[in-house]
Amino acid sequence: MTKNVPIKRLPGEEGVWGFVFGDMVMFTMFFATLLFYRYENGALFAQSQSLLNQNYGAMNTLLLLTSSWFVALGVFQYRKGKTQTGARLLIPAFACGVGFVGIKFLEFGEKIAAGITLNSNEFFTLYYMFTGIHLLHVLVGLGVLFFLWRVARGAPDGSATQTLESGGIFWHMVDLLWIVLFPLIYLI
Amino acid sequence: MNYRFQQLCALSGIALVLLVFPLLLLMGFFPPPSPAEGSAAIAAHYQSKSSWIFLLGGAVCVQMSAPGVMWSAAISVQLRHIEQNEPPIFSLTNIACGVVAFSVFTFACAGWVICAFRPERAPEIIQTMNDWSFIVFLGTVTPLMGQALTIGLAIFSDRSDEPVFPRWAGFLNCWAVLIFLPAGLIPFFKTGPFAWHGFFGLWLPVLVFGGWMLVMSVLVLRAIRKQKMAADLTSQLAD
Repeated sequence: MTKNVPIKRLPGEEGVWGFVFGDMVMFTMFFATLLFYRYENGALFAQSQSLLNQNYGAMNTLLLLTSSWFVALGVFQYRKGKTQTGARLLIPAFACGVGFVGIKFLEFGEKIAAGITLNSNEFFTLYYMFTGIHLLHVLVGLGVLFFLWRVARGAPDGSATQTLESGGIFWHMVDLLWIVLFPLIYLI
Repeated sequence: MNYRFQQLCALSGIALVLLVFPLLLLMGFFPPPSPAEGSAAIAAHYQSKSSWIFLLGGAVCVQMSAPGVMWSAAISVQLRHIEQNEPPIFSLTNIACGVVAFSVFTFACAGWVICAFRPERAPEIIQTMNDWSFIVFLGTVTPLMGQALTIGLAIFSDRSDEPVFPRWAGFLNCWAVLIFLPAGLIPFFKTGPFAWHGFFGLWLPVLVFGGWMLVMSVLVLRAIRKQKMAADLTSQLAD
């Protein structure tokens, strides 16, 4: 009798985990910077925070979470062999990401129209820079999702599964970073 | 073959880091005078220490374009191995970006030399030159980002059984691109962590740049050694 030993395997390729770690180290420094400046100047931060539109932030959180869910479903279907279903599930994931970018532009536009810019005060410097750098990650992530969609539609093979997993991991990281950034900037 | 010269080029990257960083430290640029300071305070920075430190430091740093370009060439040779018979777009982009990046760096150093050359001149002029130096030193970051991105993409495209560089180096290069990015935004800040004396404007990009250069130099040296051993083996077998 051979025992059915489940084989443990790291999803994606090793390197992408290293990259995710490196990127999260950078964002951890962003978070620490936010906390440090708020400690130094709590009143200014509370007052500036009240000028933000939390609805935009919340909607974006919802969009990224939904998007991540679609990516996870897609990779799951792909691994089960339903490669075309997997590819199709990446389309709503992409659409949610585009929605995030759209809302972000709407939000930045409103702030700029209200005369709140990069150098208005310390809080808004950090607000624009950190959400801006995160937005850049979303844009890169959208490129990754498009690439994954093309890979998923192509001939299935082992390396394609790994590519899908690796790209998915990056997209989940972008989501995770926002989930920390959102409360730090908008809520607490 | 020219392995020796390739090794020399790779080593010149290490030499550059080991020379430039202590000199910048000696010149009091870690951290540099804040961009929010008035012209008198900036001028005092160049007058306070004996100006020969700036003259000497700047005069050495200003010569660093050749080692930087040699280092870039050593990397391009390795990218050429990755490309094999494909059009050499990675190696060309890398060396071209390297030429620009390290030339621009010497323009920044020249500004520091000019500040120290006549420290007695009007403070506003010294401040202008100092602004020029830092904005050129940190603000012109795309050539370096171009280099790191090109190297990263080239490593990812390496499908051979024995890749020239390890794949983690590809991720390292892509990460470096992200870290360098905020340095390009220093013109928008005079205070805070994104200004040219701040954590994300100066410390992180500059320190990661140094580490990145050292790591890439070591990886190139390793790749050269492997290629040399393979070539020696082939020639022995031919004898």
